[in-house]
Amino acid sequence: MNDDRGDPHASLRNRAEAILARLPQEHADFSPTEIRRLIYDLSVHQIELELQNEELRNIQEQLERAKNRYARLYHQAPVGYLTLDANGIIQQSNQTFADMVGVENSKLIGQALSSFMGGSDHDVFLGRFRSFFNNPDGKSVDVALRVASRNLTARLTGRREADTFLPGERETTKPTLLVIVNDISAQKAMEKALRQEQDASRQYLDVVGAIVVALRPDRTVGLINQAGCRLLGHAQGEIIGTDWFEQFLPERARPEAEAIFARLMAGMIEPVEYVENAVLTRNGEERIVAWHNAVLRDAAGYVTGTLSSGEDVTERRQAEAELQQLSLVAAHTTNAVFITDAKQRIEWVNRAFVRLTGFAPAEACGKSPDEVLQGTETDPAAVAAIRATLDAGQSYEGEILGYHRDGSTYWVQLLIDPVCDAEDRVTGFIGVQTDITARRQARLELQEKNVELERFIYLVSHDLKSPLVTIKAFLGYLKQDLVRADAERIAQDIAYMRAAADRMGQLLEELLGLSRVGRIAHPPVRVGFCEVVEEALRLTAGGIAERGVAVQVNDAALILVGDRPRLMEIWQNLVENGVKYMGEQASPRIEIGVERCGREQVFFVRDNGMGIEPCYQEKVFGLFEKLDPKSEGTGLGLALVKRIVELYRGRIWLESAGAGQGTCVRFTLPDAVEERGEAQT
Amino acid sequence: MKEEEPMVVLLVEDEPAHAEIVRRNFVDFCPANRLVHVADGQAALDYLFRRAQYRDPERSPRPALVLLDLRLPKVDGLEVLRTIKTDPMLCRIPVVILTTSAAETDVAKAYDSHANSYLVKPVDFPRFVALMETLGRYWLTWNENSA
Repeated sequence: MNDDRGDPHASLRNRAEAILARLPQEHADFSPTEIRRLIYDLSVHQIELELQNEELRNIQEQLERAKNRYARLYHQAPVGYLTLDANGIIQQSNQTFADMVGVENSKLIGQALSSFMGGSDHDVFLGRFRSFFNNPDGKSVDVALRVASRNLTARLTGRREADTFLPGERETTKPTLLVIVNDISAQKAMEKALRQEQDASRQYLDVVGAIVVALRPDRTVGLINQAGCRLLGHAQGEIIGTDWFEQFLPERARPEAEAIFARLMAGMIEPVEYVENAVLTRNGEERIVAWHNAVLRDAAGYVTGTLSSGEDVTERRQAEAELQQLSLVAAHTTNAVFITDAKQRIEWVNRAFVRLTGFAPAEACGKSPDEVLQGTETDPAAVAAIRATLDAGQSYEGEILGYHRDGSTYWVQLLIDPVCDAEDRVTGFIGVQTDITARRQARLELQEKNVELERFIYLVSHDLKSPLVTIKAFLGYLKQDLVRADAERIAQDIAYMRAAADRMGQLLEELLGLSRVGRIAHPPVRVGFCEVVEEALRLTAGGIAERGVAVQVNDAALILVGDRPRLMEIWQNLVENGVKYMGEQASPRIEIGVERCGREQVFFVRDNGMGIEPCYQEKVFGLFEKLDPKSEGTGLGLALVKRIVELYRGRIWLESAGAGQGTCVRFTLPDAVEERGEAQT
Repeated sequence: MKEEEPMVVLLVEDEPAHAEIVRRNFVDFCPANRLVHVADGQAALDYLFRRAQYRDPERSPRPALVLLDLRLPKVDGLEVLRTIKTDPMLCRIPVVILTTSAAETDVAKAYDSHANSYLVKPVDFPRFVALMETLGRYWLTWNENSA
């Protein structure tokens, strides 16, 4: 610096002398006074100049100090300063940047900044540099700089100032970019650590099976974990920031939840520890979630939101509700229900079971179902089938005869299903019994009716057709016989035709009678047994007299209650039959009476006629069944009697030792017999 | 042989009028042959097995054809049919069902029990006569019986 200063002074003296030499020399004539004044003036000038010089030197020193101060500021700044030209070549660098990259400052000049970058950063920086250079305002570039000692992440910001140059720098017209280099490695590392920390927390949240939701005071979702997203069927991004109540609660649950939330936020109530409510999933399904809620507060104690962990309990609640319904059904159904353990011991019975079986729960429990259900008349094959099926752990379905505690019987449809645990082991059985006594009775009756109906149809195709065939055939013969004038044959033809026509008429009449049974009913009346029998005998008196049958009626003071004409038909038909099948008996006899057999009154009509072989004794009650083709009956008489007897819930059967041994028809009429006790009261 | 010994036809029919119709036709169309009429299933079996009143083989020659009604007193026609068809001695005798019933179940049951033919008695007289004529010609003339 001193050398620099000496030179200009010497040159200044030389330059001044040169200028003086060029001026005209006119001062030789000066008087001494003038010269003295001149000398004085010059001295003053010299002092002035020296003072000026001194001042200038001071200023220069000040400037020097200022420059040094700025240079120190420049070089010791906490950030790196670079001046780059349009090609990204470093024109100037401060010491901070040199230290940053660990390169001597002077060696930085002329190097491309990008040469300190590696790989992708290098290319990205070059790609963006022009735009950055031309218009750096508001831009920043984060790059990793290749530095031997450490990982350096730098944030570059720029200022485009063409006239910015440092003191002592040569002025240049070329534009440059001042780049400020911030070492953000530590910041980045911290951010990374923080991010890792957050990721870990998020992972914890996501690993947790529970649903975790944080709500902000404005009711929006601040946080939700994967379990929550899965439940709602939305991506996390779709949930965060939306109004929880509006988006994810069904409308009816909203007001209550909103009210609770509002009061929570206001700090008015402590969080409800446990609450269940429904949430709405993406596809509109409602799921029930059990929540544990907590209020979040900041350091100052202000409520900043809520944090809730929830569990989807939909299936559990549904199962519980179903179970509740089922237990209601089981308890209140009219079907008898029992539940056994794996060893088929009853553990539980419902009310209907008690009603059906007469066994109280305490009596039934511990017993096996067949101990309390079956009795002597129960089909052993069915019982064996039940045992085998249950022992095999399978379901049983069937109808069996059950026994009430008091010994009475009932028919049930029995359904037994094994109950299995998760490993398919039988842990017990559930049995459901439906009382089908009435249904079964009706079914049996229906079956009987069907059989009868089939016979009836048969009648149309056979028995009614048969006389028609006869009549038409003999009409044909009659025509031939008239031509031949064969009187004997003509008489024969006509006789066959008449018999067929009569038979047809009789058939139709009796069929009508049969169809009336149970269909047309006279109002029930009380009538003495003897009175009914006498009426029947009056109606059959012709036949009785013709065959000379002795009729004996065993007087009995029995009162019948029922359809009188119908009841009378029983004895009428039986007496007619007795007379009809008297056979060759020389002293025909019919005995009519009633005997008490145990709890029953058994009526009988006994004759000493042809009798009937045991093998035919069932057959005779069928429609149109007759044993003797030559007899004049239609085969409907006994069928009719049977129907009437059954109308009064009675039974009818035949007793006969065989052909020529006579016949005894016995029957009961439980619903028509007025018990003596009742009659007296 | 055929010309020397009259062929016997066993008619099992409970309706006397129908038996008379068959008898008259038989006289007209098969005068050389003999018709035996029984009125119930029990009598038919007695005849075939030569029991009771038919004990004497002279009185109960083997029939060449059985005309069987289905609804019969005592023993049902189907039962008679089954008895014949399950008996090694009788099973080759052709049994023709001749009945008023056209019920499908009857037809099926008859064939199930190996009836050789099932004929429904026509209500119309000329047809009845035609049926009887054809029946006689077919079973007694054309049909080759097992000895």
